[in-house]
Amino acid sequence: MTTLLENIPLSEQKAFRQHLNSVPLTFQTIKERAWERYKKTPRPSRKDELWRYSNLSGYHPESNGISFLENHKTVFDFNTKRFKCLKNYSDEIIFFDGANLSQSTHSEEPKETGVIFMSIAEAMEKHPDRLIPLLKKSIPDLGSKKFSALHQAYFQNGIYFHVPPGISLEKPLVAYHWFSRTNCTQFPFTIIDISENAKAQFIDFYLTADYDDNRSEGSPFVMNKTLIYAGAGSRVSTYSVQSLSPKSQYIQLVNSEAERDSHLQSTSVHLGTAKARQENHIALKGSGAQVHSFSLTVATGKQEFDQRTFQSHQAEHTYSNLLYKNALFENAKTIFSGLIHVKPQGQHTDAYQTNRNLLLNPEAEAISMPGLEIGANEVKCSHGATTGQIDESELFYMLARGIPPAKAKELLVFGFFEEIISKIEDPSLQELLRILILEKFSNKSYL
Amino acid sequence: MSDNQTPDLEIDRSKGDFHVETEYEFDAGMGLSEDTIDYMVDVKGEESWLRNFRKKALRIFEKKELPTRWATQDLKNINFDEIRYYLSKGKKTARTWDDVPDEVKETFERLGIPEQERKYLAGVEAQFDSEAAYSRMKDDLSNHGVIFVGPTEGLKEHRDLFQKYFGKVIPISDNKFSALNSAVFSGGSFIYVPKGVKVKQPLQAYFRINAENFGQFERTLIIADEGAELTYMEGCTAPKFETATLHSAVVELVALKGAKIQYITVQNWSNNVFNLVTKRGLAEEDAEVRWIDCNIGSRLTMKYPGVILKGERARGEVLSIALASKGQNQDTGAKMIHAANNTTSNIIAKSISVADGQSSYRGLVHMPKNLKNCKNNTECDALLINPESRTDTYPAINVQGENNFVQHEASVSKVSAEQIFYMQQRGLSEGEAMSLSVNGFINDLANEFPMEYSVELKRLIDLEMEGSVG
Repeated sequence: MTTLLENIPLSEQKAFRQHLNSVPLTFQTIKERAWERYKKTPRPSRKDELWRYSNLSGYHPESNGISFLENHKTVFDFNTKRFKCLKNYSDEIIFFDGANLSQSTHSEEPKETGVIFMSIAEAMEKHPDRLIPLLKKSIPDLGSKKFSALHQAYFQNGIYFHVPPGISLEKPLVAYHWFSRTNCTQFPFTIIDISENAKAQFIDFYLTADYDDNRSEGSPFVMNKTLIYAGAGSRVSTYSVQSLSPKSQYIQLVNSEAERDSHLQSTSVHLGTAKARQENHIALKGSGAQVHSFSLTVATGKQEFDQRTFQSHQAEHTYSNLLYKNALFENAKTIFSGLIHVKPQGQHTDAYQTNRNLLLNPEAEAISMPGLEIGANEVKCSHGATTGQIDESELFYMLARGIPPAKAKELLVFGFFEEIISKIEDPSLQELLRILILEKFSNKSYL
Repeated sequence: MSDNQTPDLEIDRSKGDFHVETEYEFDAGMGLSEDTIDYMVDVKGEESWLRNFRKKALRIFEKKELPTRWATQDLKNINFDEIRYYLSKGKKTARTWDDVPDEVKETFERLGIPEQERKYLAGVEAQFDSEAAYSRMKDDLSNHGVIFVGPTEGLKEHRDLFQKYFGKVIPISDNKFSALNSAVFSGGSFIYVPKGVKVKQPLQAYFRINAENFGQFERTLIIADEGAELTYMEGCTAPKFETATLHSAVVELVALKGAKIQYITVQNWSNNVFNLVTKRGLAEEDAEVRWIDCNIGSRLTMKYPGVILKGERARGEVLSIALASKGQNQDTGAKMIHAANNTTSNIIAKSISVADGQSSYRGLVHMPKNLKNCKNNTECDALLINPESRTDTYPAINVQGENNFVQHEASVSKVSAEQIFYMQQRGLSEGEAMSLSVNGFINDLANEFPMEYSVELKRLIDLEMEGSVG
């Protein structure tokens, strides 16, 4: 054996062997390699530029105990009321602690078009030929190399969504990832593979069951990896909403690739967890590719959100626009670190990066590190970061019209987010997000 | 408009590109050890506290790593064992022009520092290698109690005045190069302006490097007492050498209540110099510290002037222009540490990258949670001239507290083809159009510089831009 950088406890080694035996044979080599990579990769340290300002304690997904798929015989009674308002979608898949709970179709759209929308567990059985090449590709990381390898070693389930060339799906497809209040680590995997000239929308939710119930003490550590591939000329929209229980942790590693003339819009919303890290790597690979990436975060209590983004312009005439908005209450902390990287072949790049932080309490802390690395001269690139409070004159205007201070502040915070919410195509999803944000406000009197 | 028509650009450094043979009376030899420091301290006749200070700094320097995890790997090319850390023409600082050795005068002549210039410059301290070779002050300045000396004299004769702040704004362990400077510093300016004295004419010092493999480690400490005001100018040119030269200065500014300090630098080292400088100012209540910084020369410059806004209503400002030409890396930036209520800071940084030149902006703005009503504005704009030019921006902004506001904006662009076309239509040549556009880009900042610098700067940029339309 080669020398290890850290001792992997025997119990963990055993757990991995056990996991390995539960996956199809064709995936075992890939997973074994990932496990070796995980062992060899050092843990991120404070000196790591990609972890600057991060509080590294607690980023030990493996110490939480790795969870395995079980068959949930009893149908879990999750609170779906809030999600009733989501209309006009076609298929949905519901997971509970990583296991398939149900799949239903709400659409008349013909299935013979070759669209694949199934769980990863099922795709590993039915489409290994499609998955294996995707898993063999090396994925750029923004600091979570070790965790990415761990994910590759342990993932079991998630979503595989494939749209063949030229097919347009008008309605969004939805996945719900519910987690119980147990101390375990989960590795949901999302693969969105949209071919040339196709059109698709996808929404996923990361939620804790019994959100309002404090009886069970445990909390999950969710590590999600999402690969988005927008083929030439495609139109892709993705939405990811995270509202996990207050003690849970979340790492989301998103890797998007946009080919020639594709349009990709991705939006992520972060409400829950004690601590969450988002890594969003966007590669504009073909000329004419356009990517919009939006993020909206409501941080309260002692929540810490660590956001790392990378816009990689690798071809001519590419466009990217990234907007991260954070509202901070109480003792919350957000870290935004973004980079626009233009390669020498990225002439005529048009790239924007914006981070806006709204501080609603003197104790809240917003850190912003917007970066540019420009290696081509025929470019238009800019970034902006602002951190400030609610505008006094706007507040005064509302108070003068008899709106109570708390309500006025709430409205102004909503106004701050509306810039992103209004960019969502589906009005019912817009409505759902407003409800979820409002719910977070009403849980405590932040304002 | 094809890229391959773009010619390589080369700065005209012929003005500073000469070397005069000089004999060095005191030479501490190559490399750095406790013996080097002992030798230096003995030659300079420094007191024992300074000997201990230098030795402590040496230990910190040896312990600290090079900042290569975020900065360029080029730093690894500095061979600290092949540098002479102390050279001196003589123990005593020359007082009159007649005392200045002939070959030193020749160097100044070639540099074009006319004797007449000294008539209107308040106190000229022309620095030849590590020791001030010539230093004179106008009588009226000393009548007002203004002290303008070198560090050796300052720490010996005005110890009470300077020791209080020496090494306090920039502690030894701030970074590897501040530790190096603290260990081997010699030369530089120690200035004290008494209460309420407003120095009308800028104080000025010329720095020269004139020995192969010889690092210059000047140390500057400026104290403006309550209500005092002064402007200090620093300009550098250096002859070309074959092996890399290290320049690592530490500049500390202290502006007491209501004082104003403006520090102007025009840096034009030849492009084999590593210029690794630590500059920081401390602004007390109602005080103002302003850094105006222009980087044209050197192989690698790493310089992030900062202001600690310690007193209420203090103000800090950094205005900087960087020009990165062929083979150059201008890694500059600014730091604003807000430490009191109602403090404001402003950073405007502009950079131009030509040929394969690389310019970077690194910034830090810090507002902790107990503060109210602080404001910062940061703008950094980069202009890229050729396809292989490169620019990076890495700001870090950390904000807490009540009613604090920070805005940061950066943009990268090139001179648009439409602009050039428009001007060509009106009879300007391509080169003229280019130089006009570039001068327009830096114009508002260049106007902040004293007239002679601003004219020189514009002329230099004109020269750079000729035929460089990409």
